[in-house]
Amino acid sequence: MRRGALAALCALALLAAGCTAAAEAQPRCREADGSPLVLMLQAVPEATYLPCLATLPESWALTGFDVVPGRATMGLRADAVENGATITVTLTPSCPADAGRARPSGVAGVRRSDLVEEGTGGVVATRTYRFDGGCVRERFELQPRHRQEVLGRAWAVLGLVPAAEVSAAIEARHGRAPTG
Amino acid sequence: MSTAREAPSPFAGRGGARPYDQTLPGRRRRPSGEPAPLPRGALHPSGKGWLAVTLIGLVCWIVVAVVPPQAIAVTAVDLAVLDAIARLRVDWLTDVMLALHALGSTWLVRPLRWLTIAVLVAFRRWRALAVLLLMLWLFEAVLGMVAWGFQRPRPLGVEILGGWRGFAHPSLPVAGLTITLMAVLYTLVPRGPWRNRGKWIVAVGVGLLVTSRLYLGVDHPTDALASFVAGVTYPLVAFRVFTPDDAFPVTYRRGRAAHLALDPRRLTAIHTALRDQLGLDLVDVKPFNLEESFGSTPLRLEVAGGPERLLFAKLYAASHMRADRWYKLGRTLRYGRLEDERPFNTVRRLVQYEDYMLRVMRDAGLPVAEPLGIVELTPEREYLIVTGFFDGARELGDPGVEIGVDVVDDALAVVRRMWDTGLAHRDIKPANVLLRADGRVALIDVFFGEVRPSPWRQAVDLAAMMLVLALKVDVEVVYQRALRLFSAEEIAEAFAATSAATRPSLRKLFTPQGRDLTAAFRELAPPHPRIAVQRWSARRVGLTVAVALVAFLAVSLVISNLTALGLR
Repeated sequence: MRRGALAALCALALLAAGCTAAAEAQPRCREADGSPLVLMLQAVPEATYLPCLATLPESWALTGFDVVPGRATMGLRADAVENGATITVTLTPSCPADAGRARPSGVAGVRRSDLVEEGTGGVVATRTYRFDGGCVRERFELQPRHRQEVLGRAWAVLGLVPAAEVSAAIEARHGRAPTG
Repeated sequence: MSTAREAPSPFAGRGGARPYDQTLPGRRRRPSGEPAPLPRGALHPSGKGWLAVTLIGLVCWIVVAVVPPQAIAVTAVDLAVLDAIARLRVDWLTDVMLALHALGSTWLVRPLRWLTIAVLVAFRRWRALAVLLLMLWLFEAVLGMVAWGFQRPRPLGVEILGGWRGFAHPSLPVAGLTITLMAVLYTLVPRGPWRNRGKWIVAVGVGLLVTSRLYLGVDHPTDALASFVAGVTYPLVAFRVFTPDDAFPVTYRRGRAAHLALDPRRLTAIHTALRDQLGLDLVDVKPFNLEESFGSTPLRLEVAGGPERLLFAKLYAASHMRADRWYKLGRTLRYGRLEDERPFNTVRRLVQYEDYMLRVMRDAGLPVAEPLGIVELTPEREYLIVTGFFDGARELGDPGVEIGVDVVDDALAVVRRMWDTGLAHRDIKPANVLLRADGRVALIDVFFGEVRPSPWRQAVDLAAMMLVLALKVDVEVVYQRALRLFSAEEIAEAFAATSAATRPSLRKLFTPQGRDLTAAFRELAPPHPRIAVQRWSARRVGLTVAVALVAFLAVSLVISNLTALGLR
């Protein structure tokens, strides 16, 4: 086989493998011992809750997952059916104050606030969860058309998982808990 | 400065046997299965060793990925090592390790990559640059995929003291530094002692980074190890396969990139091949007249049998064939396809063509070197074409060479002979017209020769020869002597046809008094409308658009992937 063909074949195989791998890497709420959640806990070890994907409908895709000490960021994008909405979820040890309206979070020890801003380019809705040791900020960007329906479905994609659950699952598996 | 009368043939004392005679003694047929004199072996044993280690690592990766208990076991060993290292932590050592940790920073790796690219661009080493960029792009993509595939958290239960980003396996900073330093070694440092010393520098640099990352609890030992092995193997294989030193040596000497290095491996191969294939015992081989050679590596060979047994040889490799291809593509873009300028598909065909042209010209009674055969060093990749040597001959363009009208007549007669026999040399220039020791003219470098050229092409040969002669003899004299063999109209046609495109290695020539020779000949000859060189065709337009498009896409691709290449 010619070297050029060999190189092209390798590149294609690797790209295919990469697509498969990326599709599997999701911080799912149901998988407390999943590596993405563990990595987020290592980034913000004091956090008592971690952001996760409650469900990921076919119309949504994980587009980014970047974790560094003190910050974990997750990006999601919806297809045309959902008007190409995007979500950026950020976990940090704390969040600056904003003008969002306080809402019940439904989770003990978690304070929630929502802020919806409408501009010419679209709607930006920011939901913030504050809890001991951390803060999760979910930023939705979407077109005004059908925004309530889209926003409702988009919020259902996300969830919170107690960090203690993640820590316990890892300890059961490896005999030691994550540290930062 | 070069050569004169043709040296006695090394075959002269062998009962008149010629290179292709079966009776020629000393030759040996290479049996099936025996490696060629210069086997390809671009990887070398060390490259194969690294490749084997990488393959073993790949198998381990797959096992760990497929069998979860294995992954837990490997992690347990990793964490035990990290625990032991963590017990050594003291404040001052932590400060040192935090400083060493910067070795993996993009602030070091990024400038190193840009510097490498800048040097490659400055020295116009486009092939190495392309391999480097493709390799970086693929490498970064592969590492990203592996990281997503494994999703290995940072070390558990160990306090992490240093900065990190993303999953632990593979260690991107270790891999990034290793591949960058290896790329510097294989693209900028010449093969030999400097590169060998450089490998130690790579080992020490990466070793310090790995040590710091393990001490700081950022990576598992297997993360660092796998990244180091991949970071060494990947560039090593890429550069050795796609830019082997034999064909694309890293050199900063003045000279043409086309020239191949006469390293011990190649010298041994030439020795063996000459003995086995032509029955010649090589005594000495030297590069010859390199500065005048554009598309091959010319050599002067001395073979056993006496001090006068000198031969001339030209070494052709795949790099020369590619250079010829690029050269012809460039000429097609600049001028349209000039006649018979199709590139060669293989090195074998390239040397066969030169050998054929030598024989055709010799049969036509033209004063060219005696063809003595083709020697195969690496099948389809590297050949040596061997000819007689004009011992004591000098190039007509040499400053010390004086010629009279007899030489002018002889040289013009050579052109007349080519016209009469339907041949063209197509590269007549001072370096390719020799004045032999016996005072006769000889032509060398018939690689561009052509059978049944167009009248335009023949006219250009005449103009080129007259220009060469006018460097030594007055323009009027050359013109008057030419009129003895050619009509005034033919000479006028020759200078109407000649231009920089038709004689690329014979640019504008001036007399010592600063007179433009071409203009001077045009003044002497009858008026003749200029013969256009530009050949426009749909093919040329399409080719130009395609090349521009490819160049644009390549540049766009690099710019849009600066982050993926670790350059932004």
